[in-house]
Amino acid sequence: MEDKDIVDLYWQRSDRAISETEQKYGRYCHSIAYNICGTREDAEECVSDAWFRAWNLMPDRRPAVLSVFLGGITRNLALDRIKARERKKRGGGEAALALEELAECIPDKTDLERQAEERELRRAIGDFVAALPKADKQVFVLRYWYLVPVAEIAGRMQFSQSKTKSILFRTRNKLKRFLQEEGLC
Amino acid sequence: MLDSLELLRAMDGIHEEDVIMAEKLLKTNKKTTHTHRKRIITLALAAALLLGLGAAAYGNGWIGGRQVVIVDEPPVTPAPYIVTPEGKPLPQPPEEERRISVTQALAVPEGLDPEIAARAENSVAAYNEYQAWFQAIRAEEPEDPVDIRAKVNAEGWDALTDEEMQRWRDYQKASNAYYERMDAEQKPLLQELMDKYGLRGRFVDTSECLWSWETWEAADLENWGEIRHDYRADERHLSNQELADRISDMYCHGDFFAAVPAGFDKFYWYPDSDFCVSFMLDLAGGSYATWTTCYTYFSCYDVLHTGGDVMAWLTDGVNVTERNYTAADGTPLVILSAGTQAVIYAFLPDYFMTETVYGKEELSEAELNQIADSIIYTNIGK
Repeated sequence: MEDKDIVDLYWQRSDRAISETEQKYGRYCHSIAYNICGTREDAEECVSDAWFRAWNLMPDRRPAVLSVFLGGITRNLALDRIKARERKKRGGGEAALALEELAECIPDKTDLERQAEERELRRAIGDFVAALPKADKQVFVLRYWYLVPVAEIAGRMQFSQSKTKSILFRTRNKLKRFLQEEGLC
Repeated sequence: MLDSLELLRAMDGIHEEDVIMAEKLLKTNKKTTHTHRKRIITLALAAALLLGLGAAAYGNGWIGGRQVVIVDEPPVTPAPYIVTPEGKPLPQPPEEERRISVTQALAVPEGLDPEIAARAENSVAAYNEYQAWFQAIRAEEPEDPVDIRAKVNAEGWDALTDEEMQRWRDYQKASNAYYERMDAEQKPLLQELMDKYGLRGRFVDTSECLWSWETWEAADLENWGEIRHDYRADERHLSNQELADRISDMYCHGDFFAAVPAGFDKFYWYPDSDFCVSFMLDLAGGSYATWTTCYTYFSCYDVLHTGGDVMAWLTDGVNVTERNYTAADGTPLVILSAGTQAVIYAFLPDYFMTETVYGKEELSEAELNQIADSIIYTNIGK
């Protein structure tokens, strides 16, 4: 089924939207989630949550590229999951909660300011990646959007692992300089 | 202070076209390039051998050929959205990926029952003429409205003006593969073509669908919030047994399945026309997540198909093994297998059947035989 037809199913609130999405993008989203979470169970839960999130977003959203839309949702859910996992590791929940509570006492940026900064950061990263040479761009996106392991990237690009690591190292340094110049870190 | 998780999250800002470029790469399997070449040579030798053995093969009831279901075209995944903001097409999908013709046989092998062969050949001839005509119409389609795509990506659909929306609709209409959306001028020509071959149309808006509540429950949808509802109370959701019985009642003179499958993705049909049973088998004795999906489409010989209505791809369309298999009920089948995917097809008396199989792990020969034996083909037909 074509993407636009799947999107139509969401707009019609048809249950088939989910099964068609699962069939076409289940494996794709699962691999994104798995690359981030590292466990099959977490990945499966992320993908299920992603379908639910997509169901809530459409309507009103009508994504122009469904794979990126679904992949993006899955990616964010998986990142939320590892953040929650890290929080647990730091102190079984209470320490993290206490830190969050205390954070309220620290004069901080408003939500609006934070959102504006995040938006600016995303824009800057988008521009930075768009300007990279093609091969560097592919390696960077595979590593930091899809979180594909370095060895696998090397295989897919037909590069050695050391060359792949070297590209990533150089690109990260470039990004650091770029973000500093933009006043974002 | 920016932390690394925040930075990772901000990678969301990477432009869609750059993500898509990497996505395409993810689907390739460049490590096997050398193997592919060897396999192509092997397949060429096998093909030559088959040609040489044609007469003997006919005598043994050999039917087959990947050309029956694998579309012979440059590898193109129809993804109309995939262009850069400047309008340049992004790199083509990997050449290993091949489209499967789910609803229409593309060729008719020798060795078939003469009556079935005649109906199948008529269907293929009509399909080819339709394709030639349709391609001519497509040639007139307007240019891809890249500016509209960019605007939608940036601002959403609501931002489009009436003129832009109209342009988008014109483009969609011109590039649409469904013949039921043809305009008043084109429809009579389509009817002429169908009359010439004695075929009927098959219209999407007449289709009906049933699901299995048992499958939804096995899939554990409890945490899906508002999409959860009482499936058992919904008349469109049946139990697996009821769904299997319904299929048998509608399309068979006996049981459709040898045994009720573990689950159903869906069962849909076009009144007096094609039907599709997408079912799931539990080959490994695991949970829903490990079930194998078998998307089985039954295509009437006397219906004109567009070829663009149901799409499927073999992710690895090069390393395909092909074999004949006689099902438990004696029906000759062809099984094309490629890793976790397979296509099983058959020329049945009333239908051309394709079964696209999606496994979670590589599918063994024994598993594929088991899948092939899950349907009682000789019971199909009222």
